Amino acid sequence: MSDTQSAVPPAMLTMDLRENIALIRAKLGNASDLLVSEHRSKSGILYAVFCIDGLSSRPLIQEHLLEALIGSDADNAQLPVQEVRTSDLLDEVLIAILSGDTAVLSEDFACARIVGTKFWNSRSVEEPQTEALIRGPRDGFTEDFRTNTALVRRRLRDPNLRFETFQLGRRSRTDVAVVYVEGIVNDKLLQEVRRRIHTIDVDEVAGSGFIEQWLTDNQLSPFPQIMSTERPDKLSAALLQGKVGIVVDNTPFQLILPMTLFSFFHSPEDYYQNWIISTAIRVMRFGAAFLATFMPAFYIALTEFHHGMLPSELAFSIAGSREGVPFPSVVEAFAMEATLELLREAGIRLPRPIGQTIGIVGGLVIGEAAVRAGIVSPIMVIVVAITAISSFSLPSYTFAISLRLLRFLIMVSAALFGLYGIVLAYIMLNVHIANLMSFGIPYSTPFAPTFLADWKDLILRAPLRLLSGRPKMMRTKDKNRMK
Amino acid sequence: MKIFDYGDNQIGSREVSTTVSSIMIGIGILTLPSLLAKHIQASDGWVSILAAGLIAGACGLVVCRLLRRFQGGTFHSFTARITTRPIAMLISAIYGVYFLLYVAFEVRSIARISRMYLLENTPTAFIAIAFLLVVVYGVSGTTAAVIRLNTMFLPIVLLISVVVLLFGIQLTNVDNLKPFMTTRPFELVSGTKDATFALLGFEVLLFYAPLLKPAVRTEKAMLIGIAIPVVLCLLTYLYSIAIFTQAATAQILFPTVEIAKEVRLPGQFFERLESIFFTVWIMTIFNTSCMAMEASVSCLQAIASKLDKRWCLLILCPVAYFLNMLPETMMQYKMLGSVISTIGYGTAAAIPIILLAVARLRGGGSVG
Repeated sequence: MSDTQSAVPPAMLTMDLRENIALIRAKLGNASDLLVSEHRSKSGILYAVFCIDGLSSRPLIQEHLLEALIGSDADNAQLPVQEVRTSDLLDEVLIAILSGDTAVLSEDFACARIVGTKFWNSRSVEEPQTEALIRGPRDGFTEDFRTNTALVRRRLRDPNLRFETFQLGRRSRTDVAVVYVEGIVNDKLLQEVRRRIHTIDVDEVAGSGFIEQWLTDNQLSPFPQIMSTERPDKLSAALLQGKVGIVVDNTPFQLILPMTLFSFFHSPEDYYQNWIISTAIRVMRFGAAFLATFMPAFYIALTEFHHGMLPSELAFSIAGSREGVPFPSVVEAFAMEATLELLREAGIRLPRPIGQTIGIVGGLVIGEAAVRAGIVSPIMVIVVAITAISSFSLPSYTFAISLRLLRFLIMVSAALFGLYGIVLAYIMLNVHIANLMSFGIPYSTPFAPTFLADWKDLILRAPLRLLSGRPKMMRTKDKNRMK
Repeated sequence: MKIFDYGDNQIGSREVSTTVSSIMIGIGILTLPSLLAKHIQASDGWVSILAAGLIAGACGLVVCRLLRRFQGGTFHSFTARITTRPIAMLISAIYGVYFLLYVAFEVRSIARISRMYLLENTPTAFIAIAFLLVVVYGVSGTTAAVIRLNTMFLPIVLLISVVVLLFGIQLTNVDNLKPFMTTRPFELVSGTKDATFALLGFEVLLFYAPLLKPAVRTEKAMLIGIAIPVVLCLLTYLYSIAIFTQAATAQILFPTVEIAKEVRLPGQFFERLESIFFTVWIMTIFNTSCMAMEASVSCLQAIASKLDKRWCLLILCPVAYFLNMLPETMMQYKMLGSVISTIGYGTAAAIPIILLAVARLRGGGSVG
C-alpha cells in the first residue's frame, strides 16, 4: 500500500468502546450514511456495529450478524459469516468500513472484527459495447471488481491463476489486481509490472485509463502500448499467452500488457471460427488499416502531383468530377475528413433515439448536398466513405483512433511532397514503431525482431492443432500448450 | 524510468543478413546496368557482376574474421588496441568521412531521381532536406531500431523487385543478350570495378559489433546477405539488356527504374509502375543512408568521445547536406560517386585486410 510514507506510528483503537465510537465518527466527519448501532448480547457484552449505508448487504448484517451478536452468551460472540478478519489499526478499520465491510467493536477490547459485507447495486453482466462479436461469448466486464475477477476465474480454473490485489490512489483507494498465470508468465515481466504499478501515486485512479497512461513506456506515442478490453475471453486468452492483465475497479475496461502492433489486428473471433476464414479476415483488416491511414493521402498525391499514375480514363473522370470544385484537393480532403470526424464525435454524444439523425445529416446533407453544391467532388466522398468504413472494421478502438490521427499527418506530408511525402511519412511511422517498446518488448515483434515460430498466429491464423506453442516472443516459462 | 529488456536488442544471424543486404541495395543497383553497358558487349556484364560479388564475398569474410577478434568491443577500441591510438583515430576519421560522403551521395541521388520520376516541380533542395531529416530521425533512435527497420523494409523492397521482374518477363527479348562472351577480358575487369560500387557497404557490420550475439555464425549470414544483392544486380542487368538492348541501356541514366516503367501490371490500376517502384526503393535507400549515418556518428564519437549521439547528428546533418549540394552538374555528381567508390576500396577491402594482417602478426585479441 502506498500510505506508509509517514514516520508517525499508525493510530490504534483503544480499550474504551465509547472513545472508539467517537473516534470513528469524528474521523468520518459524522457522515450521514454511516450506520452505527449498539447491541448488548445475552452475556452482557456491549457491541458496536459500523457500516456504510448503501455499500453493505443489509440482510446479511441484520439476519446473521446482529442475531449472532445478540444471541451469543459467550464472552466473544462467534460470527456465522464467511469473511471475518481482525484489526487494531484505526485506518484499516476506516478503509474497511468505507469499502462496504462491517466493523464490529466490543467493550474492553482494542481490536475490531471486520466482516465482509460488501454489496451494492451494480450493472449486470452485459454484452460488451465496443467489442461485439458474431460468434463468441456475450458476457463483458462490468464496473464491479469482484464480478470481473470472477469472470476471468470462471474461464481459467487453473490453480495457478493469480490475482495480486492492491489499493491504489491516495484518496480513491481503488482496488487493482495484477492477474497472471504462475508458471507461464515471465518473471522479469511480472517484476517490471509490479515495479511500475508501485510508482503510481495519485489521488484518484479513475478507471484503467489512468493506470494505462501511468505504466506506458512512451508518453509521446499515439499508439496504445497497453490494450484495454471489455472481453473476459480476450483477457483470459492473453493470460495463457504469458501476458499480464490488470483488473481495475469501477471500469469495464481491463488492461492487457505487453502489447505489440500486430495484436491490435487480432480479435478473439479469429480463434472461434475456421482458420481459413480467420486468416482471410485478418488479411482484410491489414488492408483496412492501410486504407484508413493512407487513402486520403493517396487521393491528394494522385490528384495534385502524379496525374500520370492513374489509367488515363480514370484520370479524366476524376478531373471531370473535380471540375467546378473551387479548392485544391488538399483543402477538399481536409474539409471532408474533418467533417467525418465531427460526425463520428457527434454520433457518440447524441442520445440514442435521435442518433439516427446523424446518419441522415451525414449521408444526405454532407454527402449529397456538398457534391451538388460543387464544394467537393463525388470521388472525394467515395474516398472519405472508404476510409471511414475501413477504420470501423478494426477490432481495437484505441488503435483505430490513433490511425485516425496519423491520417491527418500523412495527408499533410502528401500535400507537401506527393507520393514522396507519403513514403517519407511511412518511413517515419516505421522508425517510430521500431523504437517503441511495450514493457521491454519491441512493438514490431514478432516481425522485427523476427520470431518465425510466432508467424503461425500473425497474419495467418494456423489451424489450432498447429498452434502448439505459446508465443516465443513472450519468453514464457511453460512453452507448450499441447503435448 | 528504468528500461529492462529481454535481450531482443542483439543481432542474430538473420539480422546480419538483412543488414548487409539492406545497406548494399541502394542507389548503385539502379545505375549499374548502364555503367556496365557503356563498355561491355551484349550481356557479358554478368561475369563482371559475379566477379565483383566474389570479391565482395571474400572481403566480407575478412570483415567477419575481424569481428571475431573484437571480443565484444567496438571497432574503434579494437583498432586502437592492435595499432596505436593516433592510427586508430585516423582510420575512424577515414570511415567517418567515407560514410558521410555515402549519405550525401544517397541523398543527392534521391533528390535527382525523385525529380525525374516523382516530383517534377519541387526544388532539389527541399527533396534532399526532407529525406535527410527523416534519416536523422531514424538515426536518433536506438541502434537496435535501425536494425529492426532493415527487417521491416527489406521484404517490401524484395517483393516489389520480384513483382517487377515477374511481370517484366514478357518484355524481354533473349536475342538482345547475344552474342555471348565477346568482350575483351580487360573490359570485363573494368566492368568489375563498376560493379563493386553497387556492392559496397557490407563493412558497416564492423560498427554493429557490440550488438552481435556471441554465438552467431557471421560468415554464413554475411555471405547470404551479400548473395541477395548480387543476384538482384545480375537479374536487373540481364533484364535491362534483354529489354532495352546494350546500346540503349548505356544511354539510360537509371535503367532499373526504366524497367519498372515498361512493366504493365494486369488490372491497369497504376499506369506508371515506376513511381511505385521508386517510392518503395526509397525505403531501402533510407536504410542504407541510415546505417551509413549511424556508422559516421559512431566514428565521430570515437574521435570526440564526449559528444552525445544527438550532438553528433546535429553536427553531421548540416555537413551531409552541404556535401550533398556540392555537385552541380551531372559530371560532378558522377565524380562524387567515383570518389566514394575509390575510398570504398580502402574501407571495404584494404583497411580490413591490413587490420586482420596486423592482428595476426601481433597476435592481439585473437580468440582461441
